[in-house]
Amino acid sequence: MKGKTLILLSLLMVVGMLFAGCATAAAPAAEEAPAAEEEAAAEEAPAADASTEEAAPAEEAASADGIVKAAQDWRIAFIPQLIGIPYFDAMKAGGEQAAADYGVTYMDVGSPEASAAEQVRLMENLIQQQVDAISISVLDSVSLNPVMQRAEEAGIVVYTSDSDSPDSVRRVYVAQAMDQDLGYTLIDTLVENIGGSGQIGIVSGESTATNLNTWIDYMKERVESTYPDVEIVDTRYTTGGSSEDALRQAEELMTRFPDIKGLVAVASTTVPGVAQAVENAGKVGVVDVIGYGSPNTVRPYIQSGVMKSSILWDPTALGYLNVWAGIQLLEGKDFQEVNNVPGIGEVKYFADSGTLLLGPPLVITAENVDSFNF
Amino acid sequence: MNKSSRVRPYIPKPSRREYFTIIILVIEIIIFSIVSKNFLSANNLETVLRNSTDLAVVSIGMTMVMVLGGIDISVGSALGVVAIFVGWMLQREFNPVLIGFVAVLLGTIIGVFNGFLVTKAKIPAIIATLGISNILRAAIFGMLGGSWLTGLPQVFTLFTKGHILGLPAPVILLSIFYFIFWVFLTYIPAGRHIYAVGNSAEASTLSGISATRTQIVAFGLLGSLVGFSALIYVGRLASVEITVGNDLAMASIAAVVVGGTSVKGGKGSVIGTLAGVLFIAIMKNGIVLLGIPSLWEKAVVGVLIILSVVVDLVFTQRSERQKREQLSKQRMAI
Repeated sequence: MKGKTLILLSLLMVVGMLFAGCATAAAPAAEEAPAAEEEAAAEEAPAADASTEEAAPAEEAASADGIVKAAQDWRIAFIPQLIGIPYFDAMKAGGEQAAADYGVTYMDVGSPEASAAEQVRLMENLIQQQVDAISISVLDSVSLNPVMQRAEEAGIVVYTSDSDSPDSVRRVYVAQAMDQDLGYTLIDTLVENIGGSGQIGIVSGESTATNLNTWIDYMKERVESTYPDVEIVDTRYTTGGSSEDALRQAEELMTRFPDIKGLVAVASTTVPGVAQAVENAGKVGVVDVIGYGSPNTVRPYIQSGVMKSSILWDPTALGYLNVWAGIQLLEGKDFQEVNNVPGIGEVKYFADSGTLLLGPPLVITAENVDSFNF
Repeated sequence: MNKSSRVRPYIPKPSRREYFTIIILVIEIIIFSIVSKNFLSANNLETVLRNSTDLAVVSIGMTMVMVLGGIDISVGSALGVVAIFVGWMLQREFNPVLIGFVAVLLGTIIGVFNGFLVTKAKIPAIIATLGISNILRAAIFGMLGGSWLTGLPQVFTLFTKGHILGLPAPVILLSIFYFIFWVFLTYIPAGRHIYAVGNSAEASTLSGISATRTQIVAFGLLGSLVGFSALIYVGRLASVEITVGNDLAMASIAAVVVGGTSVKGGKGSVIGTLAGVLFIAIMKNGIVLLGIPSLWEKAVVGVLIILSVVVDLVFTQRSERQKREQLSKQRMAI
């Protein structure tokens, strides 16, 4: 009996590892020996993707000229917050595109769960592998600042992208959009969609998510300062940002405020739930839904009319800019106030905060939703 | 005991513990209808019911597993995996009956596998289902591959918008499900065995009941119900995103415990569970309607779980004391 138990247990573990392996194909193993294999895989990946990936930005065709190949085959790694969500997949596609364009090696190294401890572990692995540069989307600055310091001490260029740690040793922060712009643009677009006045409700993810809370603060600020006829009636938080919880709370908000005209789905995972709540309640065209949802996620809702717009940035372009910035840092080229990045356009640099800004938020509507794939 | 009671089939009466849950449910409804003007509207009650249909169906199975002294924390991930298959088949316009069949079959396979891990491999239920839950969660990541299923064809809308005989579909659906399982657990030997095994696996084995088979059946039935719930989930949300089912296991266990099923096994009923599901659903609804900050929702559910266990203890102690007193009275009479 004991033997059987052991066999079953080990089988279970093998199966579990297989799944974990599938999900983190690009993650480096703890030992150094297999690292070489991982590298080879990472090198193959961009080439394979460049031929099959149609997700690359539309501007790609124009970017053929203006690209100066990198001085050498730099190894640039990026640690996303987690892997397996459309957002970071798109960043990865952009990074791989840039790597192919500039002739460098890009490694997308992440864990399937958003955990700061995992990020520390992954970063330590990358230091062992002696990559040239590490970019990271910071989950928790307190846990990550020390290991970022260690990486710099090991001679690795460290910078942040997507989520910052301003008090760390990072060289630059490659930002997708200003939080203020994201909050303001969302409110401006929603107010326009609902005809200038009325009640709106907010459904967010976990109440502890810093970025979501910052955006909500800017939304409130914008409503207070600019739109006296608009009232934010309530802000609800959902367990783990689940769509199911978002659906329930959105329906209950519509019950409590029968005249509500707009609903904001702040966490991307809550977008399907909030949109479906309005469809289930038969209030399409009466209650307008807006949120930070990717084009692939919101496409059906924009087509059915329950959403008129979604606010985001182009993560593919962000991933591209992320690698571009890494190359500049590695080759000791200073950022200008306005940088002309082939394939992206003019990119502003704010020296005081060390921020490289992708641009204003992207407003996704029925007109442009089909031109993106992320 | 007199002779006639031995001949008559055993018909369990609802216990005091179940009445207790039902009574606090009624009190809750009365309080919310006084303090919130929107609460009693037909629309709101229907929303509450519609949004807890899948939870209510899963909780039937959870009751059986917990009466056995087990637990299954993989139900959320299992629902997620099945929901993805349902979504894929909907996108390819499969026959809805076939989709339903595949969903229930998949759920059953997962459930039976859990049952085997617990009985044959003798892994404690909480560990076995935690492992399965993690594996299935990774599978969800792998299967969705970063692209969520949204805007699925609305085929299983019966559970979201449908009416049967003028009543919201969930009312009919849940009545049928709960009636079937109430009969199963009350009158059918295989169902009664669940209580027997939950009370004492050894004693039941000695009286010829296979504890192993009973447990596998219970986990398998829970799996089937989870598979069916995936259809309701997809019908309700018309989308599957990465957090699918994250909260289901905890919500279901909470409902079962609040409904009076003993965490030690051997005691509990689906009627109590239904009251527990409704009690928590109405509490969450009331919290939103009254504009109480979301943070309190978790705290309230947490307090409810602990209170329920305390109430359980009080009831058990009292009934044991009464038994002892009765026994000593009988002895005195002799």
